[in-house]
Amino acid sequence: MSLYMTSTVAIDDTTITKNSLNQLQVNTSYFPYKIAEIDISTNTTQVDITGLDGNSDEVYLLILRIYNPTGSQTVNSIRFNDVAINKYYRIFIDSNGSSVSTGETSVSNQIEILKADANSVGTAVCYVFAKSGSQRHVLAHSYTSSIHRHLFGRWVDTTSNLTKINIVCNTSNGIGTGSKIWVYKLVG
Amino acid sequence: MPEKVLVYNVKTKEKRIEERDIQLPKSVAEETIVDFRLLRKLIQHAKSQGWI
Repeated sequence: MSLYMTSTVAIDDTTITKNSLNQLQVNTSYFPYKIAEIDISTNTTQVDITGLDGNSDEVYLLILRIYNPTGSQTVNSIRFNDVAINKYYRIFIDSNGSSVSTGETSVSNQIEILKADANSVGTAVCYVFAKSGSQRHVLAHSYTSSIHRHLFGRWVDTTSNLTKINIVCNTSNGIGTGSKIWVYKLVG
Repeated sequence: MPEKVLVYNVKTKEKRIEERDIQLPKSVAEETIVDFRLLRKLIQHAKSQGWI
């Protein structure tokens, strides 16, 4: 089927327009709206999700399934716009089923959202409040077999438009083949 | 040492692998961990000593 569009098409709360790349763009109030489904097909250290517009999209939801191919537990963190200096804060509660621990870092180079045990999978749900005008907040819940983490973090930048999310592992090639990341926008 | 970075653009759907230098996060061992059981014992001790 071919579709030739010269103007916006509206269906209930959804509009379809042609964007600057000559692609059809669906704008809908039926959220969350999936904007990326990223399959990792080779072991990597970092995944960059680019082309974002935090001021427009306001809130992102990331669902992560990270396979750790290494022989040691890894920690996967989130950063924004390639900023890797002391611009982050985070506090977390970890549980292993028998004891609970907590940690806080007021000045950090990243926000540690997800651990993955050796040769195992770690899963996480992560909300990013991306609109500028205030510090950007992160809420994450994650699990790997040895630990369950609840985390709050923030990026102290209040002015930059959030255009890129970096998911970075603390170990080289620690984001293994078979990992997957889904990205949704919740407002737009 | 350059690291493998998978770059995915949500607008163009382009996916590519880059190799570049990135700053790896600190190891877990550098995090501050507080054991609640130890904290509770410290508080109990401080109370018993009349410090708090």
